Amino acid sequence: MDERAQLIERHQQMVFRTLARLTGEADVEDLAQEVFLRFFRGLSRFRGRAKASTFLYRIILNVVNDEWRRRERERLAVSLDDPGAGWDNRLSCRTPDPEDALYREQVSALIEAALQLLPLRERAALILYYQERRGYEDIAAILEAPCGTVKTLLHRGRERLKASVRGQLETCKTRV
Amino acid sequence: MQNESLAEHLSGCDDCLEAMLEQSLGQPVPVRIPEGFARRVASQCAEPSVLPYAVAAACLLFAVLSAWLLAGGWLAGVRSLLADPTRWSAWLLAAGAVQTLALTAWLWRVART
Repeated sequence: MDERAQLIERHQQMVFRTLARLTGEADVEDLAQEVFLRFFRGLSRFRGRAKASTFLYRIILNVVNDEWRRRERERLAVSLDDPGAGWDNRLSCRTPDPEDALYREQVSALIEAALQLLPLRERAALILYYQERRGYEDIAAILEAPCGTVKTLLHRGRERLKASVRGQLETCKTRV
Repeated sequence: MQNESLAEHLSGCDDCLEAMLEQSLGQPVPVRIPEGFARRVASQCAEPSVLPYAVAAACLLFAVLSAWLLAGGWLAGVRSLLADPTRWSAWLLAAGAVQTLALTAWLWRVART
């Protein structure tokens, strides 16, 4: 197996996992492929400047950002008058029915859905900190922001997430 | 704990909600990596050529032109002109300056990529 394939194998779990959490989707193969293609294209610029994982995380964020913009353009291009447009299915950030989620004991599904509603940088900071277990300095390098900003993003993201989940739980209470 | 009472408790208890968030976020989402993904992607990343085609073509063109000019005696004339600065015209100086600038810009761009 060549060097590139070995490198991909070493990082693919992390790339798929982070992409899946950032997008809220299970099938992220196309995005993962784009991440690695961009990684190898930019390898000469990256060499020696940072850790490979930092560079990969940065590319992941760029790829997700580009994908979001593409979907937004696509969404705007769909006519609201078109009943067959499948408008609802195009939105990946649909909030599940709170009552249903609770009855299936899926509070985590509410959290996951609320996570998708956060701005990308806040979502990324939370995922990198909690799921990927990265330190403030690593996250700062990935987001290209000072450590203070990372702490603010984490705090704000957590508060928004709590408010969103609490709102959903309140809705459930009034329904029950 | 009943679901309803769990919802009620979580919406009122900040500590438990925070703990629930942290636990949920800390759990990696399960992913399925397609068979042979690494090999397939690696095969799509062709090794970039050390000598880009544009540079190779420019070198070839330069060699052909030089040979042609040498054979025609043109270079000898140019050399005798360049050897005597008193015969340099403003046009020749301007052309030299433009070429030097273009070459410097190209080298800078190549060095950056």
